[in-house]
Amino acid sequence: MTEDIPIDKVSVALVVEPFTSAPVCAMYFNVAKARGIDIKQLMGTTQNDILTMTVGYIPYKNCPPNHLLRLACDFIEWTVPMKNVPKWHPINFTGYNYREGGIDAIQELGFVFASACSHIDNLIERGWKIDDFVNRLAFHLSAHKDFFEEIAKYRAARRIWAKLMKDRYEAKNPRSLEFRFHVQTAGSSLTAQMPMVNIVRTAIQALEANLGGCQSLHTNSYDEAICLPSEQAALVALRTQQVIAYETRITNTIDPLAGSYFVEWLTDEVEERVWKYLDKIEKVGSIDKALSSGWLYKEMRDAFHKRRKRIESGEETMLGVNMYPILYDTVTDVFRTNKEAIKIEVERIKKLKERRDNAKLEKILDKLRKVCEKEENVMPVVMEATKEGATLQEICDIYREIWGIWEPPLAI
Amino acid sequence: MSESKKKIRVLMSKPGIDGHWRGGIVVSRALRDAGMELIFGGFQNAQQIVETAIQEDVDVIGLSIHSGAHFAYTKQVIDLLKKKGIFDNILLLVGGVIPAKDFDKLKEMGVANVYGPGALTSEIINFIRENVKK
Repeated sequence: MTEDIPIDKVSVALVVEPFTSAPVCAMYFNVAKARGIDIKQLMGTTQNDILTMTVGYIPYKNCPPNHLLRLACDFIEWTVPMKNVPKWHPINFTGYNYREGGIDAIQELGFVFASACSHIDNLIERGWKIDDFVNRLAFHLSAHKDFFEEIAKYRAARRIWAKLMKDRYEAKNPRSLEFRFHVQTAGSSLTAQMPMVNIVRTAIQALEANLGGCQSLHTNSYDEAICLPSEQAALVALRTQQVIAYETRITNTIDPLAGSYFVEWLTDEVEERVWKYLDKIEKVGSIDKALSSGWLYKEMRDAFHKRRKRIESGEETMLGVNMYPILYDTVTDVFRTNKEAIKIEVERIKKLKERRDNAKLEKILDKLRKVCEKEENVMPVVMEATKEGATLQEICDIYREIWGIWEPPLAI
Repeated sequence: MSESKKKIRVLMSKPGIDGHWRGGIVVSRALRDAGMELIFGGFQNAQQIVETAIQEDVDVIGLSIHSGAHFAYTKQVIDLLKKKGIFDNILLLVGGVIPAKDFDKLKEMGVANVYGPGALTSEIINFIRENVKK
């Protein structure tokens, strides 16, 4: 997959969650090693976000949340404070993914900060100091429909993070106080009706992300509500960013809306409400407990339900859907995935299993079983196993065997 | 309870292992609020969907698909329903991120109706009430 990509020079994003982040990233690191690249120089981000694969999407046969939290922290620990891949961003708290479900801006920040604190607490329990690792933790937020509220959200997030680091965790390194965040424009604001209008929506959201000080940005394709992005739609999304970055000059000023009466008032308001909501979540417990008790699922369920009512009642305007409604568009090109892809992958895995030293691998997998039983960091042995050609399923099946499968307490 | 008052029974299923569940959950809740009995199947393959449909004696099957594989999954379910001889008794609905270009083909295959992004739950409820096979 990375054959012609100079992975020592580019920064990649590996969108995998705690259950699979160790094996998938280990495979990537092993590819680099095999090419003679020092993995200490590798740059990239692993999503590794416990909430994405629990309340953002529903997982397929994952382990219970306490183990997912530990797996996420194993990966953070092995890459950053243990300095195996120190330039890596080992986790990206992806508020975007659950915001898409209909929670509001306040809940989005509440979720990501509650989750971040649970991970930090776990790493501190392992004996690390806050400044050893915290400046590599990153965030991924949404740019949704309420223009000024979203800008206030980014500004409030920076304040809250700095206060958490300074007051709660007593960080000494000024870099630990920096809030690193990526923004994605809101897919759930886009419509399948008249998809070209999505270009306008996305451009406005990209603007708010820039005015709010995002450090990297993803603009969605106008065919988001129809299919996986076609090449043309992806290109228009990229050009949207380039117009803002290179033609408007708005990126020349840091925090250009600071001092505006409305923006400052709204920032204070968002900050205050987020602190209250964060407190509410933390009263339920650490993030794994908020998941296993079903509390977070109920918050999501209520958000789903509320957003549907808002749209169906017209309280939240969606042009083409509940205002000036029009028929579905049947003109836009639809991207189709390659139907042969399954066969190609199955063949590839069959060949891999013939090629590798299966006896040697069995011994390593046995070692992984013991590491899982003792709840030690899985990364060193997962690096070994994937180097010998272990598949993702083989590793995840050992997690399932030792820790069991978790059925999420789905609320409807 | 008299036959006319029997609640409409719906199986909501998510073929495959794609984790985009919001649509299925939102529609399930709306149907339940409208007085229907909901069986939430979650991740199921065609075999499990049809078995659940038989065991639970459902009137409606809803397939929620966001993976782009709507033709493949729908065909598997229809073939199996026909094989078991219950295709004519069940109202089959498909929803999700499905291009409008594909609606007609899905209906030709035997799907009663298709709901894409932005579909109102009231449309789905009315359609089921008017078309459920009794």
